[in-house]
Amino acid sequence: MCASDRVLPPLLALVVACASACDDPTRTLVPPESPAELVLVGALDSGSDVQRIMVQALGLGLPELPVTARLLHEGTVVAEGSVDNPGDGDLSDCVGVYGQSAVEGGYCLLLSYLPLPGEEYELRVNAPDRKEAWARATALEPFEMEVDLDYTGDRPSHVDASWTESAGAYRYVLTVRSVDPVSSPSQSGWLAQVTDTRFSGPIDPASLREGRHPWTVELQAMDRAFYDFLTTGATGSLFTVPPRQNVVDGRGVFGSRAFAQPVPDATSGFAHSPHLSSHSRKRP
Amino acid sequence: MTIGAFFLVLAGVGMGVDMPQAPSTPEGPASVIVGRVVGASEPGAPVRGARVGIDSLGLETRTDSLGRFALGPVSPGQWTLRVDAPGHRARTIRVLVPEADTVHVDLRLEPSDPGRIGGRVVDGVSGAPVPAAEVRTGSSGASTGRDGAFELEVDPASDAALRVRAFGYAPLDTLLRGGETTEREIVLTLAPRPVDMIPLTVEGAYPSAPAARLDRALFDREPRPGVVAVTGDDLRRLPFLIERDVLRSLDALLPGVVRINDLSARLHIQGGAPDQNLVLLDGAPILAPYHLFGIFGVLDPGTVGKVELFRGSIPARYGGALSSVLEVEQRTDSDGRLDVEAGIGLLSARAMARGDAADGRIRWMVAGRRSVTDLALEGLGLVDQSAPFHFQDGQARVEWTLGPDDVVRASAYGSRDDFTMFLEGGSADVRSIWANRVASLRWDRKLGGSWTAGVLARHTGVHSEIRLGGSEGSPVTSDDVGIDALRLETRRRGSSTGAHLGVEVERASTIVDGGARLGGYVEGRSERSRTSAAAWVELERRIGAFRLTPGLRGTMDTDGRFFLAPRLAARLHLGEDRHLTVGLDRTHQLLSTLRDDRHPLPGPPIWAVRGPDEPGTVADQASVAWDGWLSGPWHIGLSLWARRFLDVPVWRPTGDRTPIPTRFDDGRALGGEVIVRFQGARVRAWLGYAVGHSVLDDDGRTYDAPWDRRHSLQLAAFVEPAGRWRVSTQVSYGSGTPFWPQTGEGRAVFLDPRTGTLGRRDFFPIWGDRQLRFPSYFRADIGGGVRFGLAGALVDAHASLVNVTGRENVLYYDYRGPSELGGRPDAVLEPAQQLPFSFLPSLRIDVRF
Repeated sequence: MCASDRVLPPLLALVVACASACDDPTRTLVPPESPAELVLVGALDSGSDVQRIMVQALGLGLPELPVTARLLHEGTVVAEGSVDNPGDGDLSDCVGVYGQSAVEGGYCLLLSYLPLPGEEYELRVNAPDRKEAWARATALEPFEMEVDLDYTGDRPSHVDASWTESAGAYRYVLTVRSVDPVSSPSQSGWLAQVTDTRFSGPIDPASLREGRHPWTVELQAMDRAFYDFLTTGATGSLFTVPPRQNVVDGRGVFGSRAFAQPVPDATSGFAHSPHLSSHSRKRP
Repeated sequence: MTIGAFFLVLAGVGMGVDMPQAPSTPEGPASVIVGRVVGASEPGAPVRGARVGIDSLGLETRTDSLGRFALGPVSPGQWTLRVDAPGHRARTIRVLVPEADTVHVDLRLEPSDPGRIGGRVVDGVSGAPVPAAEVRTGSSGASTGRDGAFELEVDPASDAALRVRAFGYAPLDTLLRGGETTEREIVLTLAPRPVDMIPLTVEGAYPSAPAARLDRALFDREPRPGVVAVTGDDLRRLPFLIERDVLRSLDALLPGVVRINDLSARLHIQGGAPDQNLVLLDGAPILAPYHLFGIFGVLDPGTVGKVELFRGSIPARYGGALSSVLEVEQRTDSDGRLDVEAGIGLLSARAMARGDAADGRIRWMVAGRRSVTDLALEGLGLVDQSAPFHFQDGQARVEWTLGPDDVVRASAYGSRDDFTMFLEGGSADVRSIWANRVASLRWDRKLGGSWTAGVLARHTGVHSEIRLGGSEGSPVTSDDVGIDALRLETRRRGSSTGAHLGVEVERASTIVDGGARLGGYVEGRSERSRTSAAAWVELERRIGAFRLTPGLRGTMDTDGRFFLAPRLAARLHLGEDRHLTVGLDRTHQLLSTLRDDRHPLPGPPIWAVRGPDEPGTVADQASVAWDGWLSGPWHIGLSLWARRFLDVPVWRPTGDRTPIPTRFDDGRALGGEVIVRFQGARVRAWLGYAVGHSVLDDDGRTYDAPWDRRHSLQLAAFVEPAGRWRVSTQVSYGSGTPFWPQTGEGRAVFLDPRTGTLGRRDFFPIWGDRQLRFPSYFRADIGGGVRFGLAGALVDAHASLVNVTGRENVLYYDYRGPSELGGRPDAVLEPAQQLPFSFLPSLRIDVRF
């Protein structure tokens, strides 16, 4: 057997393979069809008598109308909301609760109801040609909070806060940031996640570098579903990963939260707010 | 002066007192012929030891150290004077001799054609011949046969610096004086140096090229399927993507070694995951063997002496690896002088020094490398702050031959990477830091008989962290790994039997920490440690045409787990150079990375010791291989393998933030491979085809492994024509690997860990359950190098052109949903290219002083 006999067949195979590799790698693909599901973002707010549920269609298209949401307690509908016309359900109503992400696409459904702490609720949302998405959450206990803020110069440098336990809370997120509208909120803020009911410690000055007076303190109690949804996942084209979700036959989250924001002292920081409770303050 | 010219000088040449005396003769009145023999290649240089004679008179003498001779007494008349000397063409001239006179004859000898010297290489202890030794002088080299004999082409007139290298022996460098080389058989004696498992038998004639010989030596040493040896020289000659790299080179040489894309040097071998490979540097594992997010490996081929790769079938002396063991040995070769190399490429600069001391008994190497592109960017003001990446590594090895029976080796390696990735559309950048620290100390001693013993102490450390955001207060997920081990082993090499026994105690600890701040990839802190003790035995027995190597490895750890891993390999010799090898192996692993194959997170691998209640991962493999060593440089290998995986950890960081693997999948893989290799002295080529299929099972839902490349073809070739130039090429084809496409997106809400604000996080993806496949992969690279002297230094420049065909291989697909398509209801997946350039050049210049 001569050398060429040994080499030519595999070489030929290589050439054929290379030729077959000439399929066009630049062509776009059509992704498999998205499931006909809804995306929900909602958290029971123990301090509010209006519950806000953001509803979107998977793929970010608007779901067909009408969209209805029902809140059930022990099998009984305790609140119901719907969007029947395209001009209704403005997402800006959800901005205060769910941040800037709510300003585009989808609907914000308002359910008039003050949840009972410690009680489990079921949310069911329907839209034409979509599966009924549902999830359960247990309302958190409202809490009371006291806070002292020490300053170095014109910036907070130390926080000493304590609060009553919010039954059912998985994490407390304590935040200090500038409420000056000129400051970019994304550039100015400090937080600590706490499992206890008090926190005392320094504030990283670098985190408040971009902000300025006045400063505000917030404490959010979250159940695990909402906390995980907010803190998991990663963005970016190459390493995009989804957040943790708990909606059945749909996507997103339905959790619970409680919230407190003491009144800032315009001169020296914060006065004690001994009887400030979570349901007495809501985001503006 | 033309070739063959000679002249007679009738003027007298003074005779010194040391002049050879002419014998007396009964006939008279006689004359004497005196003269001088000089060389033509170096005009005027005396030729010592030249024979000068008149055959018809039975007269003969030799020249002295000044090339002088005196021949006589010579009867008057016309005689033919014959002159010959080693390394020169013999000459005859006619000389007219008068009565009672002195005839002066000066002769110039032309050098003879390049001659050949012969000799034998023998074991300095036993006197046995040493086969497959490399004997080299200048550009001429030869390999010894089974009887230790060699023939070498030399210039007989010059001194010859002989360099002798043989597996299992200390290097030998010696000088043969010109003129001595053809006078006798040269016997070169090598001092044995204990190494792992010297082959019991040499199965066939060894090829002459060092790469092929090393490969064949490993093949003979390890009778199991899938073993491959590669020399550092080959690794250095391949075209390279930005940086020369051991790991990427293996992928280029072997079709069954799969990388899933151009931005990853992580190797998938025989259907396994990257963390199932064990990369050993002088016996110590390197757990994060990658630079720049995994784009290329940490091992610089310039510092590597040799690489041995065990695929699938792994000897019992190795533990903790399921798919492969890559044993890398740092180079300490030295030619008796201080060698300093420095080089620079497009990304990094490197320096290496090596030499020896104490008459060659201590050999050492130290090397370092650092990225320079970042310095250039910063120096030129092309980046606002610090450059987004930098890396450095340093390594050293010392080998001390204490005596004929003892060798001590110390090895160290350290590296650090700092890389920042600005996520497109993300709310924060990701900064990733990781560092390796590896050290080992080994002492080998030759005992009585054919026994050797060794002790190895090693340490491996890894620190890695992923930081969300650039400030010191950013949330950090960190991983710290520490592995310390002590290993004792003994080996016996007999004429038809062999044994390798050993014990090892290892302590491994991992700390995965989500940090105090919110936003790390994991939450909380997991500290785990495990101490294990392992014992193994490898036996070897040759029975007729069979060579059996059963092995057994038992491991017990402090969590009460016990693993018994039989390894059986057998080889049937179908002739001198045809071999059928089968292997049945079980391997297990208790240290693995937290891995999410569907949605890989950026950054270094995060290692975690298996928890006390978690199972170890087990792989069972059956493999068969046919190898033919044909006509010296040709080798053809065919292999088939089938594997089963049990309890492969799969991490779903989006489903559970606890820093442990949360799920264990089973899997299986099936494949085969054909490799044809030609390893000549000036041309080497590897051509291979592999087919395979690997699947995993998630509680009854079967999916293809993300690295499931069904077909792949590889061609790598090096051509070194005579002279200083060399060219190389590598061509890769692979069918597409699977991926899970994004099918939709939802809007996410994000608690910004830097500020505590709730805000947008663009969209979260909805991944489909049905896998698609990337288009086929194709890449052709070419490289070329030149070596030349410059001001006393040796300059070695190598340039590569990567992806010369401009193939736009796909790295991933971007989902373009309705929100990005003007409200259109449809969505598309747009390919993102792997390489931003279709003709990516890479350049490296090394200077050796």
